[in-house]
Amino acid sequence: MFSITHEEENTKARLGKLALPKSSITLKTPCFIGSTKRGFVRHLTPDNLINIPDLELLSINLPQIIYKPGLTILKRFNKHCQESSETKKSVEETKKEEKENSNKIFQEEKQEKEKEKEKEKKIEIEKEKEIEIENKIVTEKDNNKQNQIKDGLKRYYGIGSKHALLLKIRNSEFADFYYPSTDEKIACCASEGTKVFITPSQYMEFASEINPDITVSPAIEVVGNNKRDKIEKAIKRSMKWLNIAISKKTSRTGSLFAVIHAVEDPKIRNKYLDRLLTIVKNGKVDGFMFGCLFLNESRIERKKRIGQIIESIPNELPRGIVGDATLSQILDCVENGIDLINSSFPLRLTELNLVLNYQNPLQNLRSENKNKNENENKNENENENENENENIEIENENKNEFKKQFEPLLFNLRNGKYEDDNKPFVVGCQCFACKNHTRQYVYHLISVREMTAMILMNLHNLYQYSLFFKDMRWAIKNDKFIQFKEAIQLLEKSNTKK
Amino acid sequence: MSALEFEILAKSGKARTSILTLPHYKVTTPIFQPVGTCGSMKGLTSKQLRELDCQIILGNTYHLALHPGGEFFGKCGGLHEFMNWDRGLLTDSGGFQMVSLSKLAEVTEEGVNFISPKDGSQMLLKPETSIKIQNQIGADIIMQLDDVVHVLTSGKRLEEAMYRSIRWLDRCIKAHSRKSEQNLFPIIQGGLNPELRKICLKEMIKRDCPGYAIGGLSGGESKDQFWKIVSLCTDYLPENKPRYLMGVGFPVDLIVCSVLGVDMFDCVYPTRTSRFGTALVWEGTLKLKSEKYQFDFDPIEKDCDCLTCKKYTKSAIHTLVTKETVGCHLLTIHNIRFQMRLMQRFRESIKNNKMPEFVRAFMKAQFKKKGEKKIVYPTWVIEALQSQQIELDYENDED
Repeated sequence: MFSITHEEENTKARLGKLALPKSSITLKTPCFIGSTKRGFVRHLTPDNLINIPDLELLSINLPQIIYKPGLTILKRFNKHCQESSETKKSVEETKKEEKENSNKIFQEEKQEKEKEKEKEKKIEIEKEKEIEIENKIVTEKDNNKQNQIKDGLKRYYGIGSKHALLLKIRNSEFADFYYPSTDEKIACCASEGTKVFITPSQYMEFASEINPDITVSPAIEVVGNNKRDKIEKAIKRSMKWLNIAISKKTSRTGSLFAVIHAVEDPKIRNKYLDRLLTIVKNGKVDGFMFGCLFLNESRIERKKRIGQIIESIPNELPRGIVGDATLSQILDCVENGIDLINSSFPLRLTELNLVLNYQNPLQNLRSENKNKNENENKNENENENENENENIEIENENKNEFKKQFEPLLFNLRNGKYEDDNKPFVVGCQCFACKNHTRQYVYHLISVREMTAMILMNLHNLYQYSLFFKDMRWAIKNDKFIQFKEAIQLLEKSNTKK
Repeated sequence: MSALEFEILAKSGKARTSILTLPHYKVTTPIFQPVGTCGSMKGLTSKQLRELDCQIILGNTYHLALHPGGEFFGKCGGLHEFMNWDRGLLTDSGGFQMVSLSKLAEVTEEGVNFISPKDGSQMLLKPETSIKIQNQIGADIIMQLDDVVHVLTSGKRLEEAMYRSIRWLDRCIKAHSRKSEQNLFPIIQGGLNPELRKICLKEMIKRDCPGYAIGGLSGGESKDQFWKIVSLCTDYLPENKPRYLMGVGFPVDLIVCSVLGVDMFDCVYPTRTSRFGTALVWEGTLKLKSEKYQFDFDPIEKDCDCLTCKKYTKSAIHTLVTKETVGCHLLTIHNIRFQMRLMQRFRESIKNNKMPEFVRAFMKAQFKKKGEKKIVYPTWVIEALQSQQIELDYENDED
């Protein structure tokens, strides 16, 4: 299931491979889990979603689909898929015959058009063909595998074979406060605005109809300001639910992840952690999700809690975390041994019309490594010293000069100065939006409030975000995690107006 | 002087299918042109439009002049470069929007004086300014500024508007500075009065423009009068030039007017209804918001080849529509593809000499109802098709 391929020298970060056999995907961790609404990444239809590499795991929050589609529709859909797969062959044959007949009529016009096109656009077509072939291979594989995806939410919502699903049930902290659960029932705040109660066994029934790759057991995440009794009650309740989830675990519900409550008080934390570990020893739990974090605690506090918990849990199970995290906060978590991160950071940026420009500053690190490998004469120690000296010098220099060296990490496309700017979002970026469109076009779309602006910005931000994770994995592999982290912190400082 | 070529491939009565060669693309007619208001179709990228086989797109001069403005296009090289679209483009003159969207519009001989709804400022749109902005935008086909009146006006105002449109056409032709790259189409006015229409037709045909547009319709008149005026215009307009009927987009109207000899159409209908959850199919429309599609696991149309019909069922779209933006995008893709395929099949039927059978089958599918033995068609459809010797099928043989 999960295997560790490399452990970084100076920190607890590690590279791993998480196998998801249902979707025939192996995830390279650390990686990010894309957050979705009802199974769709915001604003992106499937043909746009293919353009983002490295986005392979998508998370679904159950309250969003509890009414529509809901359990009855999914059950009937699964039945329909089973019945139709038995009679599929005869239907396919008749469809082929119909297509052949109609093709003969349409052939002439198509041939004329094709000849003209070939004559006029040969050179351009060759370039486009290379890209198209890559995409076609993906979509053909998609279509072939789509027939292999038999049922469940993936087939229903057209999530292709390139993506895996993670199911969770998580309300916002306020919903937990206003809609309290009981021992038997979990309270959900549906996206239509109403309150629904669902028992843990009903949750697992939902999971078996949805057919995800990973299911996270239901839990209540409490804010640290509550009294001790309340916290203990919530954690005990979550343990009960975990036991029920384990008893209903099947191959259709996928691997099961348990929730660790990383609350403030170390005594409570450790008491329930021990209980959790005895359950884990039975081998039914396949990973951990850290809960109760990113709820207004300080950064140092968060690092302390994660660090203390990581020492006690087994090394060979993957760990995930949920929360709105900026780039350097993610690095805090990965430094302490987290593998999967579920955050909606790119989506928040697009909603604020911000564009992520991550590329430039870290090329220095990579190119220096290349020089190192090429020139065998240079000593490794000398190179590392040079890097450290550069970083110290930058901090001591004047901040205006510092800003000139790095372009800002985020820039707001609503600013009028982009009206005449016909460069792509980020020069050199290979995402769909940067290859095809310019800054001034999207500035215009934002001012006129068109939906296409959100699509293009979301595509770009997700692409850049996945590049960030790629570089993170590179840094772990080459034992340069600390330098990577410092470079990112400098990048983030370049945005502030001090 | 014209920048287009028009070659008729096949005819069937007044209907014809032809190739229209524009500076940026070769278009096959009859064709439906979707409307991308401010430089983009709502929610679709240029690449998706290409995959749907769109050949020309409409842009609205009024919105583009407000933002980013005509001078901007002069600097950056036109709308083609701006939105990265390499096929055909058509811009309208801005006259219709100004009348339909503004609070107060005063029409004088000089131009249209109106108050902007956004900041209350005054703006005078003369034929010269409209043509200048359209020259900067750089579309393949541009429209004259005409005096737009509501279709049900009659009497002195209508006559004045018709004569003024002719005078403004002359001013537009004079101000047009890119005659070898852009085609200026006049717009035939005259309301529902056949005599005025004939006068307008005679005068505008004298100016020998590359193509002609029929305007002043599709605004609330009865369909009986509508089809008669369209038929009258296509009788008089020259055969070897394209004809463009503005604002017509319901599938039944498209087919009837194509039978009467029209080549180009445009409408916001398919993109707008998709945002409200209506899908267009061969049998009519489906309101996917209603609960009866909850358990319907078939695609929207079985033989449609768009992305939505390959991957999604009616039930899935029912859960998404009006709740997620992705639902709108998926339905928009299907509706536009439906219109494109409908026109494509019509073109094929003319080439194969089977146009009457195609029209008969289409009308039967659109108007038949379950449980009724005889099909009831609207009278205007019956009369319009009879004028071209096409008889409809009244027997409802239930499958």
